[in-house]
Amino acid sequence: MNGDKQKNHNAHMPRALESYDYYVDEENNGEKYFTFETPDAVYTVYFNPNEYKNRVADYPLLLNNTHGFGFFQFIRDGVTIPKNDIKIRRTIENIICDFYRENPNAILLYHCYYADGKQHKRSKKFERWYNESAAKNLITKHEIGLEILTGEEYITHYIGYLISNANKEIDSVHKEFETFALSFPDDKGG
Amino acid sequence: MLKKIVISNRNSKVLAFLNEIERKKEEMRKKVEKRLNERRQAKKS
Repeated sequence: MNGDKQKNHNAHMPRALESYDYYVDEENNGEKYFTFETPDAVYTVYFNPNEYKNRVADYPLLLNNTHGFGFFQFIRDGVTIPKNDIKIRRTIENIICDFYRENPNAILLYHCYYADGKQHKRSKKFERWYNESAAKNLITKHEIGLEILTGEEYITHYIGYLISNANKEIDSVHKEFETFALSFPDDKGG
Repeated sequence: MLKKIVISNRNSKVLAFLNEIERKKEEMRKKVEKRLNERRQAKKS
């Protein structure tokens, strides 16, 4: 904890009114799953303190405060494409803000799922959501693109993090993340 | 502005790391899906 000032800051995280109710499943290993249902699909947002642990072992701020973050969509049978429902975005915003109220020092590390080749689309959509979010002034988002030579072509992967602006370590976290990312090109196989 | 890092080393561990993360994500997805199905079944019965 960084003290009362930070707690108060996070207490002012905005809360969208038009959103879905959600419930939380918490596992013994610290993983948290926030689930809500829409008419078309079920969504689960996860915060997993173990997802990136091995990789960030040399980066103390990332190691102690990072939660892997992402969400899953389970479309109902017979529904092909869910409608563009703004309440989904608002509910995910609420979940993130609620998580920060409980975990003010959390660094939410993510990378855009790429197995289906739609990582660029996901990165753009998340950027748009962030830019339109009421929480933008309270939470910083930083993302980098990794162009990795795969076979004969370069494929871009997107990796980034969210952090509360009230986090006193925000500059140090940024430096650690940049060092972490810049170490990738020298990361020889073996 | 999005910063880009180019990795030209085909033997880089980064891809292995990203594949590992993707695998973990898939495991989480299956776990969550199983729990959702169990909840649905419990509601029905």
